[in-house]
Amino acid sequence: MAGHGFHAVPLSIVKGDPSPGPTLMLPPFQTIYRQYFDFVWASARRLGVPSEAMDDVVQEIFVVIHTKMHSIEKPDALRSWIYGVVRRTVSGHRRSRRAEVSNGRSLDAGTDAESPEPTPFEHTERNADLELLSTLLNELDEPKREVFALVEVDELTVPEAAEALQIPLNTAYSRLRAARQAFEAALGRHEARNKGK
Amino acid sequence: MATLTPKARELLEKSRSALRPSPADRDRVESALRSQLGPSALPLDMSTAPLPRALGWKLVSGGALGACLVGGALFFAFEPRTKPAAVVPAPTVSAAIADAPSAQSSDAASAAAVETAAPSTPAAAPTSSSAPAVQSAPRRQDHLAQEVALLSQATSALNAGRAQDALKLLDEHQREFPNGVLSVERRGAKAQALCALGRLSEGRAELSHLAAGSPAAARASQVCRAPAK
Repeated sequence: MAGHGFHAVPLSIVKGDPSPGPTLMLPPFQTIYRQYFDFVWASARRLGVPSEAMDDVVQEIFVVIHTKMHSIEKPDALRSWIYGVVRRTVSGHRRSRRAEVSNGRSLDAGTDAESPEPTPFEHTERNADLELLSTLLNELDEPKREVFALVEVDELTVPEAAEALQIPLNTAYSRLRAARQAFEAALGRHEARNKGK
Repeated sequence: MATLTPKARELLEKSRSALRPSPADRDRVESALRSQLGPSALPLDMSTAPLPRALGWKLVSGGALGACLVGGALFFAFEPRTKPAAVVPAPTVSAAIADAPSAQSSDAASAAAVETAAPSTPAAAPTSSSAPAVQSAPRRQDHLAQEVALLSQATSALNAGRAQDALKLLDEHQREFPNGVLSVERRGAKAQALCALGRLSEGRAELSHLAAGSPAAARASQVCRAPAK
């Protein structure tokens, strides 16, 4: 597929299924790229990709999407599938950089000298928000954190989050409910600490 | 479902904003990707041109499921019990919590989601004042998934010989996404459905809006050329 505009590909043909069953048709890659770029970028960043590696990682994610999109089994769950690609790619990137990245750093709040967008003040403020979010998220246990981050930060719907995490929908709702309470409690503790200063 | 306080929501909104890419980020990655995948994967003018409706999708035959519907498939016709996550309405929170967390399979969970009829919200209860606040850019991303889902269902109906059902779904797509990314494909499928129902003049009128020689037009032409039965 590389080097070709990816248009519609029938799943039955791709998988070698000779039956005339349902045919999977996917949007062209360029449409997916345009629709999901912000989502992929934000998710990768939220999952801890350092700013200096963002370009490479996001590029890699879209190469994987371009290569594997024909294998998607539920085109209606495209966002969940894309998130799965993001998560796996970021995970691979983490493994390869484990020696360089400090433990527990789930959100990179470092400076990004190449970005011309925010003013230094805005940048500092933005990073402070991310740092606080990271701190609060780290107070949640992993299952809750995942659902909470997908829904509240990445803005997936709960069914999409359940699909992305391969968990039952009711479990996702249950974890989200508990995660919201835990997040609020963590925020409350943070504010109490700040008041005491 | 527990809802978040305004302070928590504000922090989340600021964080989401901080995580978003800048135009420069987008340009750098796009340029690198284009070099790697080739301009056909990412056309040069894609960031400024309207959505590539004119390019259309290559329509591929779904199989011989009826002489008048051969090759009518535009999208994946998924299993009937499957419903798109993007359009699956979230269960009312009280119901979801009452049942949670059971050891259901994800299929069962999906089915449960399909059975509900409340409008889709990302996570919060319908009464949550915070729900609308988290709808923004990602909701636009949902539109594509919703369009795909609707046209997939329509295609399934066409393949199954249920042209009337397909027509309803296509009309729904037209109402929901009058200028959607997949408008061209909708027209092609609608032309097919109309002609399959013997409404040849309407089908051909729909066909006349498609660019001659486009895959959508070619497919629909096959159906509309066949004598009405």
